[in-house]
Amino acid sequence: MQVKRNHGELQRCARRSLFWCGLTLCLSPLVGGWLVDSCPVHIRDPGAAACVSLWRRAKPEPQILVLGSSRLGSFVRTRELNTLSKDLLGDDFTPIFNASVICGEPITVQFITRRLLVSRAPPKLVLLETSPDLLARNNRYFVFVITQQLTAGDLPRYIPDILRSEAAVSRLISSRVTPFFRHRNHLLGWTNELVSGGRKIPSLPSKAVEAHSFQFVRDRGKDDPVPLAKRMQIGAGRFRSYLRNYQIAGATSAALESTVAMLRAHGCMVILVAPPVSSAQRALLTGDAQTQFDTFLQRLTISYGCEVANYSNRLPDHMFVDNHHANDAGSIKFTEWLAAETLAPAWRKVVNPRAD
Amino acid sequence: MLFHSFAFFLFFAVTFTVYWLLRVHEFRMAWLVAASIVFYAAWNPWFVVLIAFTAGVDYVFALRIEQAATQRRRRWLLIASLGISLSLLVFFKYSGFLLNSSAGLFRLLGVELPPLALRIVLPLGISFYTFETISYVVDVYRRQIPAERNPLHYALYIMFFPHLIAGPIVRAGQFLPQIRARKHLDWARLQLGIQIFLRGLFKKAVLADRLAGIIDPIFVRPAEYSSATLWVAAFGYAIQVYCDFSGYTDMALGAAHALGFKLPQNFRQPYFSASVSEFWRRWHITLSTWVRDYIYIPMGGSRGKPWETYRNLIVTMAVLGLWHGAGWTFVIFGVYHGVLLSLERIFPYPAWSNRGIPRVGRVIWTLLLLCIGLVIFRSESLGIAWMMLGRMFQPVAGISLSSAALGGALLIIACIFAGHLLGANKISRRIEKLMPAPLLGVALALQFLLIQLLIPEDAKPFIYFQF
Repeated sequence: MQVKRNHGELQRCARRSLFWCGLTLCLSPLVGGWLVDSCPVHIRDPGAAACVSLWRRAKPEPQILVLGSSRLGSFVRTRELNTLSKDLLGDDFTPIFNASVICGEPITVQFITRRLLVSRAPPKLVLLETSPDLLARNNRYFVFVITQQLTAGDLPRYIPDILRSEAAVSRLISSRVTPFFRHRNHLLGWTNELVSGGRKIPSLPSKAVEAHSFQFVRDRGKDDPVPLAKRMQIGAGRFRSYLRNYQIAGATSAALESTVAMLRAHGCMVILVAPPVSSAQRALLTGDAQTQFDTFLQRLTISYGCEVANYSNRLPDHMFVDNHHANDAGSIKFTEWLAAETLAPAWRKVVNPRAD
Repeated sequence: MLFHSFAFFLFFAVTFTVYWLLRVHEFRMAWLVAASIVFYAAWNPWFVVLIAFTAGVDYVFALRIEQAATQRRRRWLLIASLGISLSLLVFFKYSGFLLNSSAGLFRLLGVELPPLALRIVLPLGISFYTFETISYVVDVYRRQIPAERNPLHYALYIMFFPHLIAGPIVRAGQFLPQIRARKHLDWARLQLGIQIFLRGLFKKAVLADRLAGIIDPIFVRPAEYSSATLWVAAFGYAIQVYCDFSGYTDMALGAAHALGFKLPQNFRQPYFSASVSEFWRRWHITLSTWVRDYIYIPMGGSRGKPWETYRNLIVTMAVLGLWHGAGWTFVIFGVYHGVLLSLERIFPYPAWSNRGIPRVGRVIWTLLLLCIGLVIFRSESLGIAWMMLGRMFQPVAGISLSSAALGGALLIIACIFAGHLLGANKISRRIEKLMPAPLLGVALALQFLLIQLLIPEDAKPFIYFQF
């Protein structure tokens, strides 16, 4: 059947087609955004999902939890920390679980903590990472938050801070205006799972589990032809613009405070741990920024009764692989300090609160 | 600025809007020239000067040829024009190849020349726009078209951004009249342009780039793969290069349609060809007709003795191969096709074999011959090509593709043949005509969203950009 149309009719039809095409494209961000927001955590944020899954399976039940980013994750050698703590605590020993994740800034940590607390009994002691750059209002980790966790409902809370960060603005626009493109791997992964006819896809991606040990972070420098000093400068350079006009405010600091409050409400003792950073990274901090950071921590300790363990300038530069991640020697040294100076005394306080 | 990048979408949106907002025809053309300069300068601003020089020289020479009083003067002007255009092409594209080949030749004669490393950047699209300027000057010389007097129109003919970098190779006789004609926003044409653009985007950004992810590693280390996998790679490359180039051409055609221009068709279901000669009538049509009109026929074509025809075919195809790149693999690719074309003349297919099942058999046989040629075309060197072909024809064990990768490759190959089938029977066009306008609009939008969803993580540049 051949349909013949005159020029005027052709123009009208084409205009209508283009109108409907445009309308569908205008509505697509809403549908795509809804799909992205509904995407299961193990697809959108496999690192967080693997962490929660491992926490749920951990036996015997861990009583001490380490929360933070790859920075703290690379410094803490979980197996060695458990061995050292066993030696130090004897019968009082309890297993330690490292829930640090890549790009685990305060918003991500809050996201994970919520899920950890509902999946099994809360821990008794939590070591929570905190660093000046993680709390900066102009935060370089927003791009990851947008990709992995942000939903339309979170937008009003985060938009004022996201608008301050150039990279995050473009990521937010692409995430919300072209969700089918930006989140294509998430949506395809989810479709694959649905199409596979309800076949149970393991919620523990092998890559995410492998990443959980952070050994790959500590190995980074081994085959790198770039000298360490150069790597430190390059790495620290990435933080420079974010630490300029430093301000602790907005969504990230609120997320940290909310996490502390949540943990305290569950009866956990909280220690805020500032992990070591290289001299190049420390040099980026002005006196004013350091004062703001110290004041903020002081307020948290007073308001929520938590403690602070500051290791930021304890390690020499040769124990790093870049500006803020440990190499094997650095992680061994830090793990020893953490066990002896922070973890063991704190745990003794938890099991025997009247000892003081 | 790749056609499938966000930067191009933004660039085109601005160009399109301003173009149709302008009311004066000459302003519109000037705007398109400005947009084309920005488009090209986004890659390397300095080479805009080179295009301007090439186009400027041929613009002046064409006018002089037209005004020349004697045939002898016309001929000298033509030779000078061709000399300048070809010298630039040879310098930028072939000087390294010529020096290396000369050094190799001297080495065979026992003379060791000191190594000379040239670092010449190949200007994007130089092979395409040089052929366009050559065809323009030759057509003026042959009095087939008048020389263009309006420099703005001539500049737009050479620099029109949809065809500037990877064709199609446009003839002045087809394109200049379109530049002179006043344009009116035609919604049906705009819709057609969007449809063609999206088809190209799907071919390039989804099919070609996904296939590249599967087969590129095989061509990097062919010695490690099994014979069956190498056949899949050869066949896959045939599909990849088609999706990549015809995808680019479709996007160029679509963008041109939206601006009221019609570029020539470059592909007509080439893998349904039942002979190599038919293939070259369906594949990169603007290049194959160019070499036919400006190399093969001037050499004598098929007018002389049989051996002269075979010689003309082989030389023409060798030039066509060399046009693709400065390397012996490309020359041998061209000679291989020249030999196949000659063999088809010596042993022509019987007429009955062009229908039904025998034709299917011929299509498969032609595809096999093309795949062999493409292995030579794709390989880093003749040695690697020879080794790969040896492994393909002598069954050997080695690494195989995972079932997921093999499934993906076969799915893409099936997609292309389904597309060929739909295109050959004009089925998709008929369905579009029967669809209500709103449904067609929604289908277009969904196609765009599907493309976004299926684009792989690492976008690849167009294969034909290197030519």
